[in-house]
Amino acid sequence: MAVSNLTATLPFVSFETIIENLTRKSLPRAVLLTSPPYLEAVNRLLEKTPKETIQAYLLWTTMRMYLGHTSTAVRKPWETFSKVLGGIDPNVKKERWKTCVREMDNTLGFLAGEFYVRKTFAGNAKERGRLVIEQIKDAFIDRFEELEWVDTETREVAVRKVKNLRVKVGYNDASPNMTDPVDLAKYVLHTCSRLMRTGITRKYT
Amino acid sequence: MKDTFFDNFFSYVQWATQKSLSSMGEPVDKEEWGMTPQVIDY
Repeated sequence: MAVSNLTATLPFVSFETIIENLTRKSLPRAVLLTSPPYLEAVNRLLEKTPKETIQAYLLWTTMRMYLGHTSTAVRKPWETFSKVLGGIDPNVKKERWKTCVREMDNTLGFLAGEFYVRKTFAGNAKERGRLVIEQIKDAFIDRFEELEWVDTETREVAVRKVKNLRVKVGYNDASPNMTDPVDLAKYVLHTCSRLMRTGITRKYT
Repeated sequence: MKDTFFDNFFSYVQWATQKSLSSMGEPVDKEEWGMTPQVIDY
């Protein structure tokens, strides 16, 4: 449906304004709405909820996103709260290294991943892995030719689908190419230059 | 940019958010990876 129809379903939220302000792009021609009754219910709830409550909820949502990255003293009450909420003994302490590894994975995961793969699977393991998968794809296609219970039309679609499968082994060498510093720089800086243009960074630095 | 863990993380969130937003209206990048190499799905 069009974005205007989305706003008609949930008039409390101006999707046009939000999308235009966040992306500085023209509105998409169509958006997918998977659960209209849910949005209608959200709209009813927002309408009868005091503005102060909504504001507090938004603040709380933002805090929850960043609390894990604050100092021990600041995040302590939040950690205790969420442990009690989740039925965990508040005295149980999560091992610090788990937090650190997860942090690394979430932020620099793709960069770290390339080094991990290079170290763990030395030699031409990436290329060998790719070949194995290509052979499986070939074998799959060959089998389709032999299967009598598959009609021609279905077979053609199935073969096309197998051929469309993208093989992703080891680390990304296409988008971006992790081994190409120039490609990698473009990938990182593209977004940075956008940040500068929209002026979002200026407010915080 | 300040030299703290929080600010560092905040820069990452800005970067990732802008990256995600800028993909709106663009063709799907089928070569992009959705999962890092060190993550395993059994």
